[in-house]
Amino acid sequence: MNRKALMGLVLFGSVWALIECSLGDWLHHYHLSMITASIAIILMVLTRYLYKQPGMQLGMAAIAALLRQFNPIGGCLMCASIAILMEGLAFELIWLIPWGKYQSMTMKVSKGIISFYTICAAGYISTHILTPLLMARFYISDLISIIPRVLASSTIAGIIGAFAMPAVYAIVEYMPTKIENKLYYGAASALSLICWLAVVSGI
Amino acid sequence: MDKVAIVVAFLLIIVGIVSGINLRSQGAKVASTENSIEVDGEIILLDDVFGNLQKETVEVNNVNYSGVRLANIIELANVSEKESQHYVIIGESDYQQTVSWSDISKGILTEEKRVIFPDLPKKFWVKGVIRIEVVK
Repeated sequence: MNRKALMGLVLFGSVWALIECSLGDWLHHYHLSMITASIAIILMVLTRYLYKQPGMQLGMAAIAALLRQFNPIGGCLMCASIAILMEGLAFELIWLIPWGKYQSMTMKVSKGIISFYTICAAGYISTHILTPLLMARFYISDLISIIPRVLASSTIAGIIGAFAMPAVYAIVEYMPTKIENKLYYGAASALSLICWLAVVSGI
Repeated sequence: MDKVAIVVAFLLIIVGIVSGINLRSQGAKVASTENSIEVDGEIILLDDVFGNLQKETVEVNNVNYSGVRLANIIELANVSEKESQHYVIIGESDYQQTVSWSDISKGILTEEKRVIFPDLPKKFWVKGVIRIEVVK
């Protein structure tokens, strides 16, 4: 991975962590965590198109999951970190499909629904498997009981994905492809630092 | 590939909508048992629980939660060999979590029908408890 992508990994991973710790906590109270997850997926899609670096999004997830542990506010920090990491892993796996060959609008919408839905569901389910395994005891009956809830709430993410995926394609076309190195590294470092301070101080 | 993707996307949305409708219909059924919970087949009235049993406060992450000890509620249902059992706590929409007696003995039930387990992650804190089943 080149230096620029590595800096992008740190920056967008930090932004993701800040979103999880601020907006994510607030949305969680209203059972709308799928919106937070959708924003995270939009970040992953955007960075995949900008940097074209497979593996980068899993790295972003690792940074966000790690930073989430330093946030003093929130419910189950372990659950949140597991979900973030698994969303990154699910993204990498889904992006192994050669979607790039197909550029029609119906394909972009379908890709949005499938990827957003499955990534959210993967994050949700893996939390309910790994948290009990790590902190208590896992019961398959408990997992089965949450499946309808996972399927229903992931639909929100799927619908967001139907609109977000074509939107990301459109945004990427108009984004500047070249930024001066000095400006890029300076701005990225400063923004990352601001995100870390905000996360650690509990914003 | 285009057609496969459309079909899969459509199926996911349909499955999600059907699951959502199913969850809502289960939520409607719960409304009828609002003032009681079932523990190992015994119906326990919450007015009796919160009227007669002593309340306790537990602190988790600097937040205080007040309620009745779950262990006392289990005792009301006369569960035999309670220390060696596991307890499936079932809430609205059939969300459930299974815990051991050691967790039950530290947990409380709040007046909002939410269980609080100080030593367990919040995903174990089942809301709108309607039933507690006892399993070996």
